[in-house]
Amino acid sequence: MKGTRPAALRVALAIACCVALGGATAASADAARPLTTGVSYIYENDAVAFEHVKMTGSTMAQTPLRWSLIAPNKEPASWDPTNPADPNYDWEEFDVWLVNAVNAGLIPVLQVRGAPLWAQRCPGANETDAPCKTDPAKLAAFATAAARRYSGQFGGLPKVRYWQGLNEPNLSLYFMPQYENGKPVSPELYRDLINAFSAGIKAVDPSNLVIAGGLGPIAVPKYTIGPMKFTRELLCMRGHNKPRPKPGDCGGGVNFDIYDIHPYTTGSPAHEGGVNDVQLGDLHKMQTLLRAANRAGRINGAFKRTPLWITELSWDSNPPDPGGLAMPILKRWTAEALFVAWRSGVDTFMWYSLRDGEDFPETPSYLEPESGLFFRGPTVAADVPKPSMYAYRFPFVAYPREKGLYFWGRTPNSKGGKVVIQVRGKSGWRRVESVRADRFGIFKGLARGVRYGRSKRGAARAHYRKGSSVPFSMRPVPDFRQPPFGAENPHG
Amino acid sequence: MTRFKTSYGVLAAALALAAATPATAAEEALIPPGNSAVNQYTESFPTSGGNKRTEKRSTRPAERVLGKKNTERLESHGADGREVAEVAAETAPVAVDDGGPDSGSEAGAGAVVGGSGGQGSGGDTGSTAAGTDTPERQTARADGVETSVARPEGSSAFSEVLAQATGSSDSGETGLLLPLVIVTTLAASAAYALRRRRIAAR
Repeated sequence: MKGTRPAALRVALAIACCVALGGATAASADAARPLTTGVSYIYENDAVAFEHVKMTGSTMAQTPLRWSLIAPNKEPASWDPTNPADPNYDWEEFDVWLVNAVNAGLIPVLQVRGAPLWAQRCPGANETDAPCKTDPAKLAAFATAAARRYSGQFGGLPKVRYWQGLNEPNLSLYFMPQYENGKPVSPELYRDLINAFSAGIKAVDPSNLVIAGGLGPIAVPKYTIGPMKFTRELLCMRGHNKPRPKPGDCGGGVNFDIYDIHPYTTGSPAHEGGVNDVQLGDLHKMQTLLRAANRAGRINGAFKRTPLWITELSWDSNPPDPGGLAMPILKRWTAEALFVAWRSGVDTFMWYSLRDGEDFPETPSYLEPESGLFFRGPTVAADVPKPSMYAYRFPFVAYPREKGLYFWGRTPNSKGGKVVIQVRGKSGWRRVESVRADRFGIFKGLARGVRYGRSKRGAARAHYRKGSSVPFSMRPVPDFRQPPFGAENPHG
Repeated sequence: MTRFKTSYGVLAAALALAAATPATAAEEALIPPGNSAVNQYTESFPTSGGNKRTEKRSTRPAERVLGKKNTERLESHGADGREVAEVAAETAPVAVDDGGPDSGSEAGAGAVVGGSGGQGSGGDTGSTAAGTDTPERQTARADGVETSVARPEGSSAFSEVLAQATGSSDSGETGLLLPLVIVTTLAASAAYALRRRRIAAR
């Protein structure tokens, strides 16, 4: 018996060590996750616009590749739609965009979007940006042509690795039909399309990555399908809390590498939507569903865990939109949105968009997107960065906790190094903690024993190299209703 | 024990019958009109007649909501009376409406359950306001099992409560749990009452 107890103790110790090591590994794996940022819907072909994107700390730039603008209005009797050099195609505008983006050192993401009328199968279809029953074979042919043109081996044009298949296929604004006889049909239609799209893109280069989804956030009866329901239907899954596969093999699964969501939030970054919505506070629901789909073998992609991206999110700012978010809150919510996304396992986040939309006097401000990172000037060069742009470039949040001040941030260049956490005192900023950002520029921690901020007064910031983050107020901002593109009646 | 089982079965059947409604699939236009870009990105919030968007004001005429007589009586008080009538029409629960052509379009563009900021859960499944002129096909989920029910025109408060309780409501995720709890409670109460009566009889 004497020998048994030390032996048992040794075994227990060994198990404890293993658990501790495992925990440590998990913790460091958790910390070593990037938060790549970008800007989506850059329409300008001006080199200055791409310099502005760089200024936001972004490494990615996305633009829609409009099939209906590149392809002829009428389908030619004789042509090769898979050939990017076919004279019926006109790629010029997009060639210039791509060259500008790559010259600025940005990673381009192209979203193949819409469809010419001749590629739609609904009688009387008349929308090219909300195509109705797009023909998957024709989409595949166009995808092949696009991937060939931007393969890095065509006419000196740069290579594009990231390809997104269509925009917001769960909204009637961009994908038709959503319902037939009251039954949702868009997920199944989209499944055929994304599989065809993926085949076209991967046929050119199997290392290309296909982004699927790009779903709008809200369930609106008759018009949209909530992104959770849409994704469940797309991946042949069922169940809200514990998603599991439906019987059958889902036609062999769905072919894509990355899943994308646009979690526009009618409130603060902590705000949760309805059961089938995905707003910022709901990202975990989508992650749970994707993991279950991964386990069930529903997704045929390059990654064991399908990454979840956000390629669109923003709030209109006031100014210029009187129904937009006041700038002090927008700065806070911008940093918090990035934090919430990162914490929810999102590793790529793109803001919509670079500059405010054009102001048309006859259009109400709540219908115009004024959510750019830059105030719109007469020219791109005259655009002025919004204060919230600096929160996007160098996000930092800090919350008083029982044991100290919790903080999280990402350096503006997404690189490692020493970061000093400071709090604002009576005589200026003082240091409370010093940490090292990881190789992705992510830093987080707890300034133990720091009671600062418990009175809800003051602010904290991070200092990295020669710059500081936007100060983060210790006064919490409760969730309130804020339509992402501004309220219609801002003054009640 | 037999009595308990019987009462359980009867209650469950009654609840199921009350909740079940004929499944009438509404023919929907391929491209429904009148939903702006902004509405497809903005969450609704709940009102007495179901969740509703702030951006769209009701266009129901006051006469339809208040009745001709009442409207005329209010309007006889001049501008203030007219305003009161309009406000009453705008803020009245949709079920009050008689389901005219306006209410149909409102169900599409205005009255929506799309989540409510923690105040209620929404979904894309048949989340139309009660009282619309077209029966809406609704998909209710209970523990991942999907069933289709349709709500009749101008559903009553009782059937609305039942729909919520059984999970056939568009906004509820309670599913079968609540009806089971109700049935169990009722059955337990009946058994307790029966037992007390027997004890008293001895």
